[in-house]
Amino acid sequence: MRRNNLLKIVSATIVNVALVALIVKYAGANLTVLFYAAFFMFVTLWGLLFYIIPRLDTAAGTPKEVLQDLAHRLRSGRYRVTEEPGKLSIQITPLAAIKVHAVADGANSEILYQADATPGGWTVLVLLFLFTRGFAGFPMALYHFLKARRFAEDQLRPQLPKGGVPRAKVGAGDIRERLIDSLSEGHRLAAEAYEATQSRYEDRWLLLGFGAVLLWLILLVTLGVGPHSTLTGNPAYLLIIPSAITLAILVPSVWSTRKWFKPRIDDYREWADRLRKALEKETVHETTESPESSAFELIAQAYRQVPTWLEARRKGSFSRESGAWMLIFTCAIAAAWMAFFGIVLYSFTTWSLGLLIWSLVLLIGAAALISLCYLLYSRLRRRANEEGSRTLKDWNYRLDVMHQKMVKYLEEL
Amino acid sequence: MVDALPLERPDLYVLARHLERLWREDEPMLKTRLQVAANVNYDVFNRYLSWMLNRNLVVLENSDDGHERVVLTAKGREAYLKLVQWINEVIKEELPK
Repeated sequence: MRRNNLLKIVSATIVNVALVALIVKYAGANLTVLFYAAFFMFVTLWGLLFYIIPRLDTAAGTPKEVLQDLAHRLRSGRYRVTEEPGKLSIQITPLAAIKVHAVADGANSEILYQADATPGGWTVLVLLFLFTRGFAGFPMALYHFLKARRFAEDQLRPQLPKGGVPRAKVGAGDIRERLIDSLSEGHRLAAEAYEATQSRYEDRWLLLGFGAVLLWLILLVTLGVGPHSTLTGNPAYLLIIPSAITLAILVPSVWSTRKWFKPRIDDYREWADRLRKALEKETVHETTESPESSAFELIAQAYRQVPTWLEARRKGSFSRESGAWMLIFTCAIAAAWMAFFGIVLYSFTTWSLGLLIWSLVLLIGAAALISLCYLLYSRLRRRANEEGSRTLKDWNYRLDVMHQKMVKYLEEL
Repeated sequence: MVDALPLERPDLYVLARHLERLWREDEPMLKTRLQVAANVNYDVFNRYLSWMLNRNLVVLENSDDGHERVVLTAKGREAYLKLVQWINEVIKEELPK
């Protein structure tokens, strides 16, 4: 085991023991303390499984050469690979992923791996951590670690160049290797855009459902339950009117959400499918006629879509501007509850000035928080739009330069 | 024999379609098959074929059955490789986050 990993395990254990010792000192040894001790232990192990970077093997060649070669081989095996400086990220299953690091070791490269999760995998892990205080999160983290270790042993190790002889540079002269790389990258971006948009669509449904329930409750309390209610005399209206108003708002919202998301989801899925099929055809060296006129043309068309895919992927990710989004989310939840309690307070009280003031304070607070949410959201949206148009401009420039270079080359032939 | 109006400037994608189809074929390819695969009409196909022949990207071969067949030359393969390399380089550059 590498010294760094040992250091990580030792320091995590020391922190863990110190925290438990502190709790025992100030709270005494009882069941609660045991619970927290176990909690800290699980959290520490949970973190460690994603933090340690075990050594896999030594490969012939520089880190860049080895990683490029490995990326190409994995793409030919239809794995989704993202190249980053000094490392690769590979999706193993819809939830599990692995990072492969390469560090220079003389003329060779030391290959290391690290367990990782896909965005969906991280969501499951965080939810398990939040709802089970880390207890169910730990087995899941262990699953990710074992999955990564197995993949490293079974899939990565046999692909590494051995015997001190680096492999020929990938794609130096092979058309098929270049096509596979380009199709695989295009497929990865389209598939990630599809998954991110699908996930946003599902989140929007959840949000609409939550909003509808909250609105229905507010209407029920305001119109039917409190002393100022207008529908107390008729129990049938008590359910019908709040439900009708809620539906009148919900149905157009659902319709517009579907109208916005569906064509985009279908478009991204269609692109991902087209690229996947072309990639499959390329990896098995199939020469039969296909509905696609040419892989080159498909790649060129697909690359025109890349800014849209990057934008879709960015929108579906909380990794950027996560602080601002958390603030908006927290403010929106707080505003919803303040509005709810403000209305409840107003509805359940007879005219008492004190309670009326409290109710007004809550409602004004809710309005202020909603305004803050709106301001933050507009700022984020403006910045995202600016960034989106910059990306589009940069990308189109890149494609135009490539196109001109190709046309010039053909003219000079 | 190819006798068509000269092509001033070939469409990059149509040309790539021809070159790619020939590259995928292990043996000389019948002109009609190549025309169908490239999805262009006979007139357009002849103009592209003529353009490629003039630049030595392809050559014509007479076969025993009396049909002319098209073969990709080393220069034609090199030209297609260059196009594929350039398009690959676009995605290899750092992507905007």
